[in-house]
Amino acid sequence: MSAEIAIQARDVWKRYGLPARPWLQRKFDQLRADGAIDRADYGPWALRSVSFEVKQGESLGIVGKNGAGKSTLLKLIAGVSPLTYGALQVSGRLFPMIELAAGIHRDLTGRENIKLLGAIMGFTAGQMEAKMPEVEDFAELGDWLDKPVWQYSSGMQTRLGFSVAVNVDADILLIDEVLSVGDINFQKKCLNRMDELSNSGVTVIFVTHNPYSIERICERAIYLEGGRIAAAGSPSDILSAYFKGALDRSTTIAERDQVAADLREGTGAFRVQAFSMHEAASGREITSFSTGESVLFRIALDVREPTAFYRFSLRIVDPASTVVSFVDVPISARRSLALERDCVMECRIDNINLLPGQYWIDLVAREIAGPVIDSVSYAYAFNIYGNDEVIEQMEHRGIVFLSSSWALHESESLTAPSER
Amino acid sequence: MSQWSNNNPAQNRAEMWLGHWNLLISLVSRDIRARYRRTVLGPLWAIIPAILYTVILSFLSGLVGASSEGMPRLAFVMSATVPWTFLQSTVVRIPHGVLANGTILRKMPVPRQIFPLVVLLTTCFDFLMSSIVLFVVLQIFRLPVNWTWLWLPVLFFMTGFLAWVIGIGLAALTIYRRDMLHGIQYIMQVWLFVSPVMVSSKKILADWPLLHALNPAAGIIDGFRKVLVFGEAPNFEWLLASLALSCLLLAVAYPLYHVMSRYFADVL
Repeated sequence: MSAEIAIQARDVWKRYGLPARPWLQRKFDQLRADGAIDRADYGPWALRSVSFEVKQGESLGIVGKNGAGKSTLLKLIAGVSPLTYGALQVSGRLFPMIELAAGIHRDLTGRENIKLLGAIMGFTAGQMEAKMPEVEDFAELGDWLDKPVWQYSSGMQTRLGFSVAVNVDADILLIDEVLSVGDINFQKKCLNRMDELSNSGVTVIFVTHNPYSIERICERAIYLEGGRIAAAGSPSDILSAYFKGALDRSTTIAERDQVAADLREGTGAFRVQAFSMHEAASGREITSFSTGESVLFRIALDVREPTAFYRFSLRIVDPASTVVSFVDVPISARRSLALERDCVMECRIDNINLLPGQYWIDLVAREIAGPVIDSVSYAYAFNIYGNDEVIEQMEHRGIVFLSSSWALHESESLTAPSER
Repeated sequence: MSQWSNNNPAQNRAEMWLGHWNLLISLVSRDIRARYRRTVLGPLWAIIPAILYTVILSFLSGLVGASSEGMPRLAFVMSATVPWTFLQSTVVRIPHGVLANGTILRKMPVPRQIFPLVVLLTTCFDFLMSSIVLFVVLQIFRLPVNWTWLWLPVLFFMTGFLAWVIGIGLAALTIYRRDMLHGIQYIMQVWLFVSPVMVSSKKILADWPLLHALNPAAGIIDGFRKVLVFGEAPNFEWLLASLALSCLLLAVAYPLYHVMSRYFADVL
């Protein structure tokens, strides 16, 4: 095994529970069926043929819906649960940040518990003594440290667990959705500490079903679905894979909503019938484009009652459900957009400086200061790819791309800017 | 399987064992300290069970007119109840101890053998505390210290060993199905009454010779009484029989626990 590889999983299968019964069943069937037996039939499998590698110092995100096998994978890596088939090699001191409160005894004081947690992690009393000031400082519990833990709030208990966790030395950190606790300041502190750790060469395995946080922390990600690796790659690729499932059904209104148009929210004075995206210059229909390009959206409308004054909005939503922009018909243009009969409305957006990823569009039409006329969620989904400039300058983090240029100046020229 | 590899395996292994040892000590100290927090009587609870057992069983023994072979009844009974309480509480607590530490087992790959040992060491503490009371009682009845007391460490070790063996066996079964967790206290009651605790071993030997021969605790408990009350050496053959039975149980219980404990995190 190469020294640079921290974790290597090869064809890992995992079935929970004691192995005796499925094993017997399989042997029995093998006798009857002359050995033509597929082990995959003897489930239920929590993980099926999972293989991946993590290099030292790399941070790997694992996303997936509930029950996809994320936590199982962590347990196998942590070595607390045995594999059913396959091979998994882990090198380095490993620290699982799962079940942070594990081992905390409610009748002991915070300080006693810190020492206990240290012991659970495999540290000697002396090593823990040395860590104590750092841990106490991070926990921000003050006098509470000498009070028994049963008097703590649940947030304080978590803080206790987390403080020990992030202040111990480990080569590999396993993190499972622990960031969703604590007040906002503490969360921020935890995220910062995590950035620090992953920058200092610690290998991080980060499991979450809030895929947005993997963009912040991870360099690479895998997407688990039903115990299999459905996709592996850069965080932004994985994010689009993650949301593809939800979006596939809804890429065109034509297929999905024609029949149900009248069941949609709104008065129905007009209804959106079809939605498409086109290259601004040529008018060619597209489903993806590069950062910074201009596009044309065509919205086919089925007009039932002539409508003169209305608002029409495209809501552009990113994979984390953040509304990145709310594109509305300008007040000055409303007059010219009075609807008489069925028509196609065109909306041109120039230089869309959104970062690569998958986005979707919600449509909302409403009377001015009045009721909703029509509303379509997930009306359209599209991909944005990075152009050379984006790939060169950004690390796929954030939401928008801001074009920038850089220069160096002599110090004097900057000390007196007012003279210029 | 997860494997640990590093540049310096020897140093690493030493460090790992030091860590395990530290964990064992920390867990024992946690259990001893935490158990009696928020109680009025505090550490007195380490000795109360043995005292209560002694009072109740002496009373029962007098009620049924069991022979105490010419010795003070209280001393006669207590010399057996103190080791018996040690045996019983260890056996009953080991499965609970393993379950109670489930969260640790689901998080860190700590050696699974630690948790029964933690229970054993805490009950040892209780036993030593109760032994002090027993010593005082023996002095009150003017039962002298004599050379046969040199047997006590052997008897103590054998009691602990037997209790640990049965305990891990039960813990392994408990991981599969919880019946043992509920049933064990009743089994222990029956075991108590067929052991030479309340009555003398002569009586049990006369009434149920086979049961006496198959009872791994009989020789040990009787040994405690012989040493402490009568100033005699224990029956060596009985002790050997106890040891043989304990080892037989170990041959079943240890592999069972070893295999089952790998799946702790899956089924706890």
